Amino acid sequence: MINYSIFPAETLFDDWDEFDPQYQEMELGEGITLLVERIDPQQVRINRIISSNPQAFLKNEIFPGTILKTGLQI
Amino acid sequence: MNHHRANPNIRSNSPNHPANRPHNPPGPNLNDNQANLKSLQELGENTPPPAENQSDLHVIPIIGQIEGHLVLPPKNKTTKYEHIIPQLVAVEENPRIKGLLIILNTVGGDIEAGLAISEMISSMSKATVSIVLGGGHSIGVPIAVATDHSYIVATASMTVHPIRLTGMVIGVPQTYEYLDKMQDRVIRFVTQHSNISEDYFRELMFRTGELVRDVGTVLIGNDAVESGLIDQVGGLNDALNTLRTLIRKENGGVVQ
Repeated sequence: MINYSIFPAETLFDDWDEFDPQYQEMELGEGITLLVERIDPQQVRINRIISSNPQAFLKNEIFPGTILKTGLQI
Repeated sequence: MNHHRANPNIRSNSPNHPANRPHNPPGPNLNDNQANLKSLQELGENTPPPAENQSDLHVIPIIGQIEGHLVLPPKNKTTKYEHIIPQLVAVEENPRIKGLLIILNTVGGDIEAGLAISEMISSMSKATVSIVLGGGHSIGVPIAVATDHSYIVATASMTVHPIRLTGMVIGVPQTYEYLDKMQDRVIRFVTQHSNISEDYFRELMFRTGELVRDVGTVLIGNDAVESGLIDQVGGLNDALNTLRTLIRKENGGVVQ
């Protein structure tokens, strides 16, 4: 990776060793899959939209960073 | 647990809010995808704006580090290129969206991700305007100049400095040649998409005595305009007015 930033690499990767995100896939249908990160037993945060339909990336309801209260088994 | 209740931390009196909607509202039949999205709305906390408030402009904020091939630890505030690039495709394809406003406050990041975003923006057919707020440093520079018109607010700064490698560096001439080639990619893009000359940009990039622990130059507000890097000093209203003007021009002067 070539980092072109005013922040030094040692600052960016300071807690790299402890960083271990746990992602799960969540099928939404119509060719949309969400990559979500469970933040507690009832909530997940959308990390990424996986779809070949570009308009899926403009949907407010599933925008990355949105926290979903699930109550569902994923 | 009632699965139909919205997040209790989010309170709203709006009839559109999931918590205030009936479970089976009357209306047109929804297709499966809409039904799925509706279900998500009822479980989640994000309420989309009403359709009548939808603008024909799309805004993409590029904030913090630009994250590319490596996922950065959570203490970094990042903008991920896998979120931005498909959005740009969607904006280009969506007939409702007439113009794109890029809001930049970035400290830089992955060079390949930044250049990829810059190339995507510069090759769009729709009107594009960028505005640098706070800072548009390092790989933020090519993104700022990639639009049809660029603005910087008077207090914002842009740092132009040489690129650097992370990880193992082999002390052979090829390493320096490789770095030089990578740097040329940035220089070529910036000089092709702004009014700054290649010689002057290189001079700014390799200037010594200005930054405390680095080589390079900090351009603040009007300095970036005088150097030819950015088109104008201005704020949000200026950027939106320019975007509207560009849209009118693309529509042959017809106000829609």
